[in-house]
Amino acid sequence: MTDDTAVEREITVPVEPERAWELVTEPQHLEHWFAEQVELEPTPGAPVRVVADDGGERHGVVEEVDAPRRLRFVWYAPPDGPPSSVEIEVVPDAGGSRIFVTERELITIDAVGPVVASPSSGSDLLALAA
Amino acid sequence: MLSLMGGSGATATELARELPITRQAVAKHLSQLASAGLVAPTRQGRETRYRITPEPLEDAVAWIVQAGGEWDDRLARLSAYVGDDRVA
Repeated sequence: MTDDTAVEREITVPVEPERAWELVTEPQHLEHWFAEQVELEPTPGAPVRVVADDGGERHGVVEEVDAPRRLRFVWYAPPDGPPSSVEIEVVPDAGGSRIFVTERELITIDAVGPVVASPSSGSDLLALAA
Repeated sequence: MLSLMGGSGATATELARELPITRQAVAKHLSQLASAGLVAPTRQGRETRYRITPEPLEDAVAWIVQAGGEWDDRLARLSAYVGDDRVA
């Protein structure tokens, strides 16, 4: 059921993968397309702070970085917006670079997690809930 | 199990009649599904009746629409931005 709450998008950009990586990880570029204000550093553990055009904020933390290919962070809208993870992947493409984006809501995983983590009943429960 | 519950819900005894597992096992699974917010329990005499909760699924759909729309907007802006000479 985790895959039910995921958004996937992709886009081809006419620039080299190294350039595409800069577009998706450097605030000076992110602030042209991602959000009005972006605080992000492609380092695991680095804080993420994003202010959208409408003033809405998201706070989070960088979880995983595999430069210059993959970045993953988690974020949420304070004070109690549902947390989600965002994964951005850059892949070389004939037209330049292909950027894949996956945003996955985490609250469902949290809610089911303790149950699924129980080895005696986890697989049964998933089968029954299907 | 959820597919057997129907609109009016079901008790562990009713479900155990339809499933190849014991009433106790059904009751345990129902309580786990309730913990996960997928079903909602209501007392009915000596038994508990469980109904499927629509909210988590509706919330999930609303979230996908919202988050998907945000990414459509962001990627449209990215596309416009890389079309800009200063970037390419």
